[in-house]
Amino acid sequence: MSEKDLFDPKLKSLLRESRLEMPFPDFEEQLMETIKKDCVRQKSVLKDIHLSWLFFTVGAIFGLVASFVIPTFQKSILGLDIHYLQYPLMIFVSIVIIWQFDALIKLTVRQKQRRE
Amino acid sequence: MDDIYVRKVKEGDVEAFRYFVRTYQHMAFSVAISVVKDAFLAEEVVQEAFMNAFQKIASFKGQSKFSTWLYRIIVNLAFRKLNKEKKWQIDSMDVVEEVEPTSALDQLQDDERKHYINEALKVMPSNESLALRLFYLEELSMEELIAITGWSLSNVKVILHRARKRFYAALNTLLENEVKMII
Repeated sequence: MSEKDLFDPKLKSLLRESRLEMPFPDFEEQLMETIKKDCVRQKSVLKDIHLSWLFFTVGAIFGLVASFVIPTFQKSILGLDIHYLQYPLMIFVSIVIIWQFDALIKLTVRQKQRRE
Repeated sequence: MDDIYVRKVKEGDVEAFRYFVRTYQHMAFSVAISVVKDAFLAEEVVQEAFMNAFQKIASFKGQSKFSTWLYRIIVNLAFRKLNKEKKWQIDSMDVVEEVEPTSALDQLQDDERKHYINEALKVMPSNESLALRLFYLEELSMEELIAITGWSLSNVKVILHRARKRFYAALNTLLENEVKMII
């Protein structure tokens, strides 16, 4: 069966008469409004992601520095030498850094995929 | 013309996208309603399709026509919506008898004729009414139909062949019922 076998001018003219139009007159305006709102939202999401990365970097550096510096203080908390806090603090900071880094990577990739 | 506006939208001119909405909204609605058979669902599909097209326009490389790319998005969304609404009409494998196009149509007024033609398309399986609209109304080639629907060439031919017969049969039935009601 070729394209010629399916040639049917009668059907073509009938369907041409059945051509439908969008029955919602405000469709164009509503859609453009939604698109513009989406653009503004996208820009704000991107800004938020950039800020998240900045605060993550600052927090990670602060956490790492703190976990190295705090144990060097010659002080005690509730009778416990602060020196003993070194490893629990480092483990806690590492977990938080890995957890937040993973979340941020996923968020950034998802956002990038949406834009592509 | 489409290429110019695609470039403008890619460069960040949001308002340029209005050109596509204005140019393609009617054909988009026509294609969507062929599949979902409901005006409100079709509007939802068209809106979502335009939104998707806008968000993903960066990935449009111009290898096909913009309209073909948009049709593909509409068709995919429409079938997804249909599955979600569980309104998917199984494509009947019944043998449809060959029926000659009725001459009764010629005696009807334009708006009445339009009504019956659209009613006939409404009672047909989604894939068949979609194929008819794309091939006969939008005058797309087989290759474009394959690109849009993802069907194989032989499948497209079979669907079109069956759709033609079913369309005439449905139209005749509708007109016969109408005549019976009048009498």
